[in-house]
Amino acid sequence: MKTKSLKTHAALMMNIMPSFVYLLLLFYVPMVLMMVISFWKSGFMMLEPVFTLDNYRNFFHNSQYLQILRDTLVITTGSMFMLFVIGYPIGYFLGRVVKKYDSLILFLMIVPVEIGFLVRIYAWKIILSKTGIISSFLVYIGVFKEPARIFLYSKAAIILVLIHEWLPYVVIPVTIALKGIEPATLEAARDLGADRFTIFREIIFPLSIPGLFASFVLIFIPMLGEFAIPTIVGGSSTYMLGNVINNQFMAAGNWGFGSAIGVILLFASTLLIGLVIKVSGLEKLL
Amino acid sequence: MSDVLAIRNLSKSFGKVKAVDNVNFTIGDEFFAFLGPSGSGKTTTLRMTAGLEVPDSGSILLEDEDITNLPPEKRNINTVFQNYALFPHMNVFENVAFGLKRKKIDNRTINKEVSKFLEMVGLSDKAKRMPRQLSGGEKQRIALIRALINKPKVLLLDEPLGALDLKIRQKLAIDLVNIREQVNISFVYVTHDQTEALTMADRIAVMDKGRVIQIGEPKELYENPNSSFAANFIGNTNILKGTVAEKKGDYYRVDIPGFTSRVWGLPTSTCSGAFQTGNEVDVSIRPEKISITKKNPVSENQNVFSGRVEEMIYVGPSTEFLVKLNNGYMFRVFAQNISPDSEIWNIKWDDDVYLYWRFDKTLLLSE
Repeated sequence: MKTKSLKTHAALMMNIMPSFVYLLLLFYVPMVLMMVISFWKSGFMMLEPVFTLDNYRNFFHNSQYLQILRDTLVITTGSMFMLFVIGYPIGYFLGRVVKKYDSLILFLMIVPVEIGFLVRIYAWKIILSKTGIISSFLVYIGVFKEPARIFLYSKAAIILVLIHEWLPYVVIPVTIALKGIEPATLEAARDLGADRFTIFREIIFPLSIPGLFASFVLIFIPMLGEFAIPTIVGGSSTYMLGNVINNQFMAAGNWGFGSAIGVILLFASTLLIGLVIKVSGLEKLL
Repeated sequence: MSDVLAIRNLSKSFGKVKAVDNVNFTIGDEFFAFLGPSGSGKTTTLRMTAGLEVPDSGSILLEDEDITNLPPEKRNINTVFQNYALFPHMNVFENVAFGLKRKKIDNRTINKEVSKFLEMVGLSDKAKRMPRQLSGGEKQRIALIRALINKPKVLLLDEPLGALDLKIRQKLAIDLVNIREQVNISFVYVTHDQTEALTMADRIAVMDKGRVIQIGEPKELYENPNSSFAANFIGNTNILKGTVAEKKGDYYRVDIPGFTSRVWGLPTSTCSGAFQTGNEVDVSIRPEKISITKKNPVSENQNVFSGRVEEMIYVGPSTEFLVKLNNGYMFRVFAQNISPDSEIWNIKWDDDVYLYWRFDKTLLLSE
């Protein structure tokens, strides 16, 4: 009995080894390195293994950076909220209303995801520009007297493009979660006296929370670190933390400071995810 | 007037298939079972009663009130679903309280009622458990009280024990009967398992191809089936096909093609009067009514056939014989292993044997 369990143990280890090594070398080691470096003395093209809290102090004592942190959180939570507001009804439609072409519609939603994201962002830049299709149309129907930029180079533009970028990642998990609800569960609710609204509030919505949570995790963390979208459609006025980190590593050559901001971002997202788990009552479902 | 539930001329088609075809029955304060093979329309009938399916025609009356067009949430009827259909995101307490919450009953009363019902099924300590943490039998009992707590006029049960293993099924079957006696609610129970129906139900409706074949008490259905289908579906039986040849008193002689032996039988009380010389009839003989012997038996008031033992299955309390009659018919015979000096101990494979049974245990069925 014991030898057998040892054997299965060894076999298990063999199976998880490749992914473990991969994660270790390309994920955990760099992350630990980043945490360590964030406490090192650092400046332009200079990094000294001397413990210091300066990197963090610099961040929290600089109102400009704090403003960027606030902007980043406003943009990401705003986008996340809008994504849920727009994506949930689409997911509901695909998961509970359409019976026939649901997979075709899902497929059509996924196709744009396969197009390079830079191409899509530049496409938005063109759409929103002074000579873009929206502006031209509004001039044509007489709403605008002369061509103008639509939201371009603003937070609104960033949110718009983020929503477009991530919408499938809300729709798909929500659709799957809603499709997974047993019809008998809903019949039982009706049988016990629940009207349509009660069924949605008490059964359908709670059972779709795991789907919402999945999309939250899929979307929120990469969104926090976004730097391409603000660079291209956010203009010079709106920076996100991703841009700051990018600049610290690529332009300012200050790795310690860049790492510190990375760690701050990591904690912010971990904290938020923990909070979401608590509030959504997800523990009960897992 | 004491009818709790009355179903009148109920029909329902899915596409071209007539799932339920002009079904009629009334239920009083009793344990009523729908018995039939899958696709016989029993579940559809139940779902229409619950309001989960809309009938094409006919009406459903609950205590003389027409509820045919009421949605399920407005009917004073509750259902125990086939696969429990517990709410996976709610604990046991919340599941059971769901119906009362909808009725806007105050929390103190709800707490009291839920505790009472949990106690009734012996699951008081599981109130905080999630459905996935329960065993199949526990889930089933929660599904039962979740429906019962609403004190419906009629409780519908759709194969509630189907997914459980034999031991738990037998125990829950007894529990169900006891619980019904405590709560005094009419039960309508759908099953394809004849043993379940026979042991639990006060009355059974046998269904086939969307129609009710026969309604009656278990004993009546078994001893006096009105058709070959009913005879075959409830218990085992041997069926011979023949034509009525002669009438003497209450008994009829039936000629079976290929048989020289005479067969005398009694029309079942449920379809008497329909017999005339020359009519084609089915002859049904229950395997346990047949005696088996190696000596040629006295044949006063007995039908006697001869044949050869093809199969012998010893099952402890009884032995099951498959006997091939002279014309090729296979007959099933159950012999109880009662006395150690019984003749059946001497019967071996390939032995030539005589089968005999009483005229009045030979049931004639019109098709």
